[in-house]
Amino acid sequence: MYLSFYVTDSNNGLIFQYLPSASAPTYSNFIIKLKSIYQDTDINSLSEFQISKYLKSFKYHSQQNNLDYWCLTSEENKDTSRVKNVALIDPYVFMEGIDELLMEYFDKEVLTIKKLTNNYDRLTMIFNYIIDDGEPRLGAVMYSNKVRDVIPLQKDLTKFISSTAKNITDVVSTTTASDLRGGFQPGTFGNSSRGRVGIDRDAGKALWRSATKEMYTKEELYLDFVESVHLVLQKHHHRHKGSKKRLSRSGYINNSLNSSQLTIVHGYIHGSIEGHSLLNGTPTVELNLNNNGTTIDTPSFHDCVNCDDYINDNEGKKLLNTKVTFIPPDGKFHLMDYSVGLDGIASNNIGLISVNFENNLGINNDEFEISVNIGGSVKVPSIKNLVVDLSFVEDMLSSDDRGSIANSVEHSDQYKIKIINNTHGRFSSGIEWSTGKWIFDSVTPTGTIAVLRGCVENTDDVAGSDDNGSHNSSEAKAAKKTNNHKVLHSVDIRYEHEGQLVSGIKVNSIEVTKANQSVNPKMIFKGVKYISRMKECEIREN
Amino acid sequence: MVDSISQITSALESAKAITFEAAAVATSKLGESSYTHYSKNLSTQQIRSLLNSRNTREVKDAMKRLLSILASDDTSTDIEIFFSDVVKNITSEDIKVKRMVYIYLLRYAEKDPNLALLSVNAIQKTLADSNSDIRTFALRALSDIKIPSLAPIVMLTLKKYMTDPSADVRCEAAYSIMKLYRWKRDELEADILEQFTALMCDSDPRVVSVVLLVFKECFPERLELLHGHYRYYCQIINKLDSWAQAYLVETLIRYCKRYLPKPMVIDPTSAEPGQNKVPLPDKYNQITFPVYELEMHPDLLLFINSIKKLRFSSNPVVILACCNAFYQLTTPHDFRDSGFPKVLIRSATRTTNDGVKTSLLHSILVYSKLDSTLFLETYRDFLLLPHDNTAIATLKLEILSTLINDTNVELVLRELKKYIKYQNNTQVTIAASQTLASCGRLSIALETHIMKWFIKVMENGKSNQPNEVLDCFVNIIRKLVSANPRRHLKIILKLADLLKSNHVTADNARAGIIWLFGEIAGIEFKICPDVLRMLIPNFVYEGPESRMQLILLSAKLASYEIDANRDKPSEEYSIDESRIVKMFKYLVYLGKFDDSYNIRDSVRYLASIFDSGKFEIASLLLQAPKPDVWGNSESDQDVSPIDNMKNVDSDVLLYHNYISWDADVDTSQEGGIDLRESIPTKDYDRFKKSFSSEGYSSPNSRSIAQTSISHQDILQQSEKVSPSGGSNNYTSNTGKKYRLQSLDEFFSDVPERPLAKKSGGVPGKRKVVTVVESSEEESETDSSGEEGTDDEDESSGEENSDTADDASETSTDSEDSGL
Repeated sequence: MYLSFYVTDSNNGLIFQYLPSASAPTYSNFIIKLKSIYQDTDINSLSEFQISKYLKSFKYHSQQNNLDYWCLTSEENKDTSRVKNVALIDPYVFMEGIDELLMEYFDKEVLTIKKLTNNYDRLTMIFNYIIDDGEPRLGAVMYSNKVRDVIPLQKDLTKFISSTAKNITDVVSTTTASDLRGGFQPGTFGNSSRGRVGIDRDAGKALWRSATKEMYTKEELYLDFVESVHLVLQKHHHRHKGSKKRLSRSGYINNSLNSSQLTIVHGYIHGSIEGHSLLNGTPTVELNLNNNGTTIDTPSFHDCVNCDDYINDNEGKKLLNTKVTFIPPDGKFHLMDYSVGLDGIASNNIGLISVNFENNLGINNDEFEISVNIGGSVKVPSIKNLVVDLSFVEDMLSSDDRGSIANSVEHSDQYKIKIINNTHGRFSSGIEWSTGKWIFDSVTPTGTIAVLRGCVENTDDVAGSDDNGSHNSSEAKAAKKTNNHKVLHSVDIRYEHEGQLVSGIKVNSIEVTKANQSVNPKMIFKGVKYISRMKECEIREN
Repeated sequence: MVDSISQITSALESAKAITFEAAAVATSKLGESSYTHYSKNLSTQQIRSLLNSRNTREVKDAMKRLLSILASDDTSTDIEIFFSDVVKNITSEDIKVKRMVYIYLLRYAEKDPNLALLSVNAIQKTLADSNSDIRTFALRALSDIKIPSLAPIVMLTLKKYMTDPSADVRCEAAYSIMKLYRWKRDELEADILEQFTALMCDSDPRVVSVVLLVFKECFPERLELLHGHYRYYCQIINKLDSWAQAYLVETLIRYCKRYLPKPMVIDPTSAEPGQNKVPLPDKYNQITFPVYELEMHPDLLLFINSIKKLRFSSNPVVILACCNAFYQLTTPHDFRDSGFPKVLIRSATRTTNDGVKTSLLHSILVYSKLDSTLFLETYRDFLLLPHDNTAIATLKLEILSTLINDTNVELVLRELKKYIKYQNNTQVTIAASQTLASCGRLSIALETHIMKWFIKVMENGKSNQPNEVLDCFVNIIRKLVSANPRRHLKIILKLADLLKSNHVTADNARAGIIWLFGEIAGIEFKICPDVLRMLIPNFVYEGPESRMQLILLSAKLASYEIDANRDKPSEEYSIDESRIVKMFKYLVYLGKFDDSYNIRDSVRYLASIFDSGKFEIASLLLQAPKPDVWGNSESDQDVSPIDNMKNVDSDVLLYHNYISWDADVDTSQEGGIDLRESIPTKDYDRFKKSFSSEGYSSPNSRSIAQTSISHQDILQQSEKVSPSGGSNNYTSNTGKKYRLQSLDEFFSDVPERPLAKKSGGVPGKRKVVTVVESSEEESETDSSGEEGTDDEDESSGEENSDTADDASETSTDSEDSGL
């Protein structure tokens, strides 16, 4: 059972604590106890902590909000029974659920600390509502609409004024006829929950929908498709061909983009659909997706999706389309997660941007060049937050044995990356010499080609001007290379853009049907947004 | 006169209220932050006066401040001193104030039970509220104030609310069962169990969800309680809360193991009918037939088929539970076909929740060790990504090592080499090296190739590799070489070169190689003395571990040589003349002056053995075969594979602990009694009138819920194999029925409704209520009679008598509780 919950910032500073019983320790006591058992580094890196025989603590880090959720659990009760119930991942999943619930409840993309501290009373009540005697409350409680029904959100100013005006008229009318209204008394207005007395909330069975019948004047439905891509690409170098080029080349390598082949080592696309619905009544929405040739693995759905229909419509039919039927909750919701595997796909054209890089350029063979080719697209005007991570290594296996032994005595901080030419953005060196970042402006238009050229400089001149003297190598190739042991080994590119999805999935149609056709379904505004995020895309030298 | 005064006061009241509203508007104009700022400056005295105010808003302000202090761990104000001021506000009309007072009480009630008792009366009054939210709240508050004298009252309230028309209230009743059990288990266990069994019959999936939670928490061993509900629960599993789905799956795994017969594995190719059946083996992946089918008990099949749909769940707990079910109850073939392995991988790799990710990967590792074919197809998912953290990367590599086969080895090998070369993280490099070593088991050529590659990496002076990594490399080579030294003579020679040319400088790595020569001396003696000879000149420059190993090596060689020449006459061989013994003596001499205690110590001990001429003891000590050094060799197949996994998290192993089938299961059909004959469920929703004309009808249509499901039904259902077997959900006939009913009720019942609810508050009139309710019900059955389903008529008739009983029970209860 859960004893207490704490929400902290990333420095373990308390933001919020929920202590439902006299025995629950306050955060200051809790963290002192934790620090007496674990090292500081462990507290930051681990996610499960055994505090005593029965007491355990779990931590969930919310990347989106940069918050840590902690819970303290006790297994004392279970010790008496023979059956071992192992709660393996339950606390993590529960805390993740709370995080999502809070975001949906406050209707925020990111929860700020300020938002939380301003709403201590609400937070306490929400925690109290979803946890009962140390157990999660089951029975359709974790839906944000349900929570909002029980713990209404403070309305904004305009709504408040209008509701106040309405209340005043209510008061005037009810003071005269209060006995007819049964239990409704003056002085309690402004409290919307009393106004709903008598309406049974679970009359409709779509539990995730709000029970308060708030009518939207304009009916709207938005679906945001967010795809994040994780990708590792391997560059295939044609060695003999490359060495020929190397002799003559000193210019840019843009034209040689096609000469190096990229193959996908491993990768996948993780897609999710975030919805926002402002629909009255009990609408049924049918979403038709054009798969564009990709296969969607078994997706995971919000409870509002009818799985039977999904199985009937899609499974085992090898259709080009995917059909999903659901009754949307009110407000924000997370409709589904899907995943598209990229393993074994031949195309080397994933995403809008193609990157190429080359080592051993220039007179001293110590220069490198990266070119980023942002393809033009009608749908995507610009790329956001483009960052290219560079990482350099010692070119060890191709270098001469003894040379590298000699180098091994040297200190690695003798090396420095020097930028010769840069068309876009700025370059920033990492803490270690072997890393660097090429950071673009926050918005880069599509259809541009950016080039960065630099060299790895050996600041120690003695070692640098070694001039192959110490090597009695017979091979010319090896001799050439000894000057340059540090090469650009891999680049990792990250960016995001709107307008189209990496997987190519598109919405064919969204159809809203309702039991009573009070509103012409064509009047409902339906909006779709596509967002692609390249989370990690590593391109490696052979 | 009196009238006019009261009118004036009420007008004044409302005027005051309006002013406060205006003030609130003014404050809200400034937003949340300014409100927080304002409330922060409230002094103790101000809070106290606000708490005592007659205005709800002021009380709310004060309570908000108190909760903020509690939530922010603010120690500047002691909020316990407000106890008495807070408690009296439980009588407030505003549910929000009530909630806040209740939360305060949760924390402090146990410290002052007498004062907390004051609140009970007010809470009890709200127990009969017409709003289900408020009823839920009242029951919850009552059961949470843990004062011993309250237990009987909670029990009575609970009994009454178990038949409440609102599912929320019934859920809360289930929670209070759990609270009472935890709290007063010794006194009330029988009573509690009785209530609980009654609640298990509820038809609403939400109530069933809570019931399952309570079952898991309180009665996990009373599996026999599930008999009558097994089939119904399997049918509605899709409609349960996702947590309850996981609880149900875990519980039913145990149930099936105890009460259902073991499935039979059938070999369809075999012609003889008697020979082709064997019970499912306890050890996973030990089915002898190349092709097989599984014959399951229909109830087990029902369970397995119903959880197949859960693969769309977004809750990883459910996915994990289902995987466990397939592992515990079926064959690898069924597990693979169910699609769950893929879903498990998807949940594991795609989640951003590190705790979940680690546990799921651990589980994959367990399954993969049991049967690698489950994840073979998607082995690439376990290749590393640039941003994987250490723990996850090591786990992935470990899983990968179970998945290597002839078809994928090329790619995996290439990747692993890259990780080893370019990874900056020591732990990951080590894990990758170990995975690479495990590739060696595929073929001898690969083994040689891998060893050569390691030596090449070491030769290339990866001096920037930390010692742990070098040590790991040497260990791997040691391991591979000593498994079959004759085959790898060339490698051994290369190692000698490495030592000589000082490519390996790390002390522990050198020590490891030297040790290896001591071990292969028994097989290939010739090279070893030479190696020793070459190393002696630099003895003083070696690290302590290498020095130790050098001395040991010389001792071993000496022992071998003496043994080999024991039978020869003394003219041919003299111990004192032997070069090897001389080398040993020289090293012993050097060792006597060593810095390290340890070396001096062992030098004395070795020297004393040789000096006293006890060569037999020396050979026993120094030439002992060391089979176990290589750890978990693959030979010990007899040990249960689960026990064999040392590096898997113990909780994960406990979770996947294989439950053995209960052997003496009487196949429940034999006596003609169907053990899992469904108990009729109780649908309290029927008391409730729906205002919504477009209510979303739940797929568990009543006819299924109420007629007991016979064996044949299940068979038919399971033959259909789910997709169409479910139901046509939103726009089905049942949906239409709903609309008709509710419209009728809408017109007929509206005037009655508030009256009935209101009178529920007065205990004396409770009996009247039951009459009203049953009459409503009659009208309801009439309307459903028009629909023309005989089944339903019958069952609702039953319902009638049931509920009438319940109602009369509750009426007496409420009289008692009215004290």
